[in-house]
Amino acid sequence: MINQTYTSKEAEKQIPEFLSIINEVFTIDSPKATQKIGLTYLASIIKIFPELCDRYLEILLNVA
Amino acid sequence: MADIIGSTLANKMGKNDPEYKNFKESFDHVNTYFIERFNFISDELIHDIFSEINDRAKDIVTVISKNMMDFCDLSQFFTDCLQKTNSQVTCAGSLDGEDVEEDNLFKLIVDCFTNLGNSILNEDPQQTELFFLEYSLDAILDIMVENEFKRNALIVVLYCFCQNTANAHLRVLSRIKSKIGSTHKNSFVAIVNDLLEFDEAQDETYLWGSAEIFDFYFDVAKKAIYYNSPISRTKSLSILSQLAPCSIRPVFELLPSIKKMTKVQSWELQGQLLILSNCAL
Repeated sequence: MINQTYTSKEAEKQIPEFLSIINEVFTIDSPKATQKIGLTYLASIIKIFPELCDRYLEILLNVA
Repeated sequence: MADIIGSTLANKMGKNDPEYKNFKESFDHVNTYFIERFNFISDELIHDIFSEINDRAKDIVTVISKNMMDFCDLSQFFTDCLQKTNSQVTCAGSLDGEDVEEDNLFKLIVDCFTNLGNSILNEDPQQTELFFLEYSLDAILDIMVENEFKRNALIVVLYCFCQNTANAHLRVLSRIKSKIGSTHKNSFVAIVNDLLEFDEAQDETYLWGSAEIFDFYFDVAKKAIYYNSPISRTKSLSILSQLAPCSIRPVFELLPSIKKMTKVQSWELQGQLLILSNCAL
């Protein structure tokens, strides 16, 4: 069972940190292998964080 | 064991085989002969011998369980063979037809060793673990440290001579740490990362619900984050990603160091950063 239990205070502080990691690593210039890993793993959270959507689509079209 | 090796070689080694003369001269010390001339004996014959050992595992286990001191010889025999075997070689037995799928020889020996390990463990769990940790682990870790391909195939051996419990696994992990934790740090992190797979979901709980196991893995990952090797840092992030479903909070304290890794030009490391972020979110 996965139990991600963020308090709202923790979420406020930590979520932007992880999103900034994604923004720095998952770019149009990053290696193709990294992009493919990102496309695979980030698909599950794209609904929750729509701000990732534009970058995701751009890379998806680029990889294809 | 000597019977199995001697009779298999006697039956299957042709008189025209260049090794036949050496074999006949060493018939009384067939185990020593086998190890010393291992690289000169054909792969098919080695395949035959380990297939035969596998088939007669019950007889061997009966002997070992009566006198655990024989376990040392058995372990020495297997580690010598594993040391000398090329991990990439595949072959079939000497009597197999051409349409038979070839086995990886190294994996066949590992399977044989784990099969014996599980059977001996069933007879006497405490003694088996004790003898394994005292007399086998060093040699196995030496092989794992030397060769990455062999390390991947041998990982399954580390837990098959101990009971499937949190405490037993923790004893094995601690012993591995004491043996190579400070001398071969990169191999140590890689081995711990691979072993986590066996502990991840046990008993329908993550990491057996054991705080000690979690702390052990987290501690290894925490230290490895600062290693020079990007491969070890990738392994460290991999451990953290696997621990995240269990408890993400301890990872928060490492975030400043993790963020610095975004600048490292290594696709594996960057990929693992994305996986960790996905697990955290």
